[in-house]
Amino acid sequence: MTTEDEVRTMLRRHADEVTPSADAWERIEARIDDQPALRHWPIAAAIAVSAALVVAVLAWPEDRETRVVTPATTSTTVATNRAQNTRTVLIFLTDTEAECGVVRPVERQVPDTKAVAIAALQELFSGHVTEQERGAGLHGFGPETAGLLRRLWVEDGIAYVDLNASHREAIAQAGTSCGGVVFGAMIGSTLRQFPTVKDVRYAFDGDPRAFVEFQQGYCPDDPIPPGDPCDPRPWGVRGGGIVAVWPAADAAGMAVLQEAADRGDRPDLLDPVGVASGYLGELAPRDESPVSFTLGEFAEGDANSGEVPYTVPGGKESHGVALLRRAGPEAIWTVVGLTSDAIEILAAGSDGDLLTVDVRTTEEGSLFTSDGGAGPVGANEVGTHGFEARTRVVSFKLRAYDGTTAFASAMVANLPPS
Amino acid sequence: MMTAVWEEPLVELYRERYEPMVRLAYLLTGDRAAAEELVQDAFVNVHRSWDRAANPPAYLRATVINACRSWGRRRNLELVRRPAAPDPPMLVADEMWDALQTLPHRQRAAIVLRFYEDLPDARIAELLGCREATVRTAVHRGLARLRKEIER
Repeated sequence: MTTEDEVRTMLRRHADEVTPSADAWERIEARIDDQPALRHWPIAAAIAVSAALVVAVLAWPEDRETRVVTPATTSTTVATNRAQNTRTVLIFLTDTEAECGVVRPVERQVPDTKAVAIAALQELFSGHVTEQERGAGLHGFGPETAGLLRRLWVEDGIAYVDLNASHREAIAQAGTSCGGVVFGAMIGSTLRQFPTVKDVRYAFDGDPRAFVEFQQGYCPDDPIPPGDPCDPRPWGVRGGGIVAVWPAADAAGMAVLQEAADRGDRPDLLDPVGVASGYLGELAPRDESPVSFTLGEFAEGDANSGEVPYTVPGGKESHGVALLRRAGPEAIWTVVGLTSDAIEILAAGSDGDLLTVDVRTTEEGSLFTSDGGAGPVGANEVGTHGFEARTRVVSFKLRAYDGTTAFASAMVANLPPS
Repeated sequence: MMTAVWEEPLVELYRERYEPMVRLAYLLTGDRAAAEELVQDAFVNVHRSWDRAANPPAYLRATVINACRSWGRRRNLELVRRPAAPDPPMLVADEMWDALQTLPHRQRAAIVLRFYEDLPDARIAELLGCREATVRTAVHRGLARLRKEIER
């Protein structure tokens, strides 16, 4: 009998021992009864605001380029309910019964965070559309775009929307002519409700050219003029390196997400601490103290899995980690990264200022790599790839976060030796 | 059982999926009481999110898996603060089951989802929020550790 067979047998045997309690449904019902009447709030909210919104939509001018129905200013529509730690924002859904590119606003509750634009876009990408909205011909994204947003920040009136290239297939329609207009209309209108946003730029994993070409556009030859949608400069990462992206702009936003993950309210969201702890658990026994290593070139990170694809000498691709973790509400955030040199923790507000952080190395371990999924590559196999590496766990404590339209939680840069 | 009209789909989901989910949660937590609690919580969450759950069974399973991970993390934190009471003696020694309890969540979940739920790697990757290659690696590492226990 193989190990796999033994595992199967063991799992079945233990699973079969479980007999659910007879009163389980009654317990579930009791818990549901204890819940606030949330189930139909989106419909109720939509009904409540629909009259006002219809009037507003009819009055709003059409955007020249995209025929997007855009409010001149909607700052008054962004209401805050701090008592419940939520605020009301608008997201814009496409009206399938109207001309291509026409979008309509609907109201949503999002966590009351400084990064309200991120929260609004996350809500749009969550794909949540009520039956009532569907019945009115409104459509949004599907649930498969839940992890689409990688970074978002606003600078000089331009919202930079960095999308996960790994989710490209989820927005394949955006590569078509009408689909592209709809895509831009829903995102652009959702962001332009915030007075600081005048225009929007897109990129896949920090590469604006990739997005422009995905939408069947063309980029000018180098030098690309500043302000061009293909201009890579605004997307640059200082020092190159890897970026630990988190869909929260600050500790408060992170806490909201953590609580939601703990409650199980966000099955689309990996439990940040759980994920990081899992990796740490894997790393800890592997502290084999390699004596030397040569690090490959890091690519930008995958926000959803927390893994960082990188290339080792010889062009072989593999994955590492760049993760945030903490042990409690007031605990120190920890970034787990792969590096051979100093790790610099950066975080930026809308003005691009660096966040002041305390950085200290707390732990080192040997690098584990995944060899194309064939299995683990431990210390014995490191030599066959001609390199060795090790992880460095760095702890840092956020002192402050300044900027109402902040974007990234942290950045782990692989800097050259000073 | 008296149910409101809106509850009928949830009751149907309960009839079909409650027991399998409790078994799955038990394999992921190793704690029967916690497994039931977590699955009941998951049903409450599914009820609350019914409008946005395009595929309630899939949503339920994802919620259960995430809840088990969070439960494991909370328990680990509690164990750090307050050492756990010793487990009651097992009637039959089961080293492999014991070893399963020590695996990191991702390895354990990958093994349970592949060998108990018989899910393809792509679906497991989706549920765990990682790449397929990572799933294969997690299964490989998890099996290696379980194998070590068998060979002891």
